[in-house]
Amino acid sequence: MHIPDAFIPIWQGTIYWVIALVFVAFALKWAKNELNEEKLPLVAVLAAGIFALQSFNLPVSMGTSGHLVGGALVAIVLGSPFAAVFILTLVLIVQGVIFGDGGITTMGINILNMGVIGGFVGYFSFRGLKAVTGSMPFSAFSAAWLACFIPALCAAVELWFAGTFPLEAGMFAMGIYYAIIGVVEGVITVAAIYLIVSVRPDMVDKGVMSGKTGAIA
Amino acid sequence: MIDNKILIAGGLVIAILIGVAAVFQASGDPDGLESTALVIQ
Repeated sequence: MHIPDAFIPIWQGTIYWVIALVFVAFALKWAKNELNEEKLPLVAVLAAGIFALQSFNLPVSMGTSGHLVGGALVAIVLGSPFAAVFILTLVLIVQGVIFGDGGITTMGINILNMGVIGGFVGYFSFRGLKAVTGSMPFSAFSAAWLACFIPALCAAVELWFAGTFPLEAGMFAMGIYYAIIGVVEGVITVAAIYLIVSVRPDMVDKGVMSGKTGAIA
Repeated sequence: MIDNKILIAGGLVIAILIGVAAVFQASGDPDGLESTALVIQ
């Protein structure tokens, strides 16, 4: 889902950068208030794990491939969508600056899609589904799928606005591909949550396994 | 429950294993956004 440089005009990239920076500022505020010696190791491990998982693509049929985005996973485990903005921003900076995955002018739009939209969609859809169904695996899988699918549709709209993709064809193709990729995202998200809960349940947001959910920020 | 040092060490080992070993299972197909660009163009 990383939009590379030259897929959108510079002026549009600047606007997305400004919007992303607003959310990054809130994410830094979240980090200042919430990160302590207890949570910091989990944040470090999640950032390293998401960087590794985003570094290779798994085959998902139809001649395409996909990788974990991680916005939903981070937001669910740490109990805030701003956690996703914080960690995805760190990962995207390293990927864009050092590994050429994504781009510099498009880093704002990538933070917006994967960190902001992915994190907020993942977190709030998990909270809503968990409150209704009470099932963590179902809620986490669905939230992760939505956090993959909806940002992809947003990217299609953004790329249409940039003149890169036609709207209908872009949304149709992106929708189909990311609906499939989202299944991989959902399975890995549920597995990762179970793994983290099994080794350090005290670090995970209370709402993940119980009926309660943590504060937004 | 494991302590913080083991959590960090274990997490980094898993990340490194994914980054090194799983590359052999990685797909050569373009990802969703690149596939869409190829299909449309």
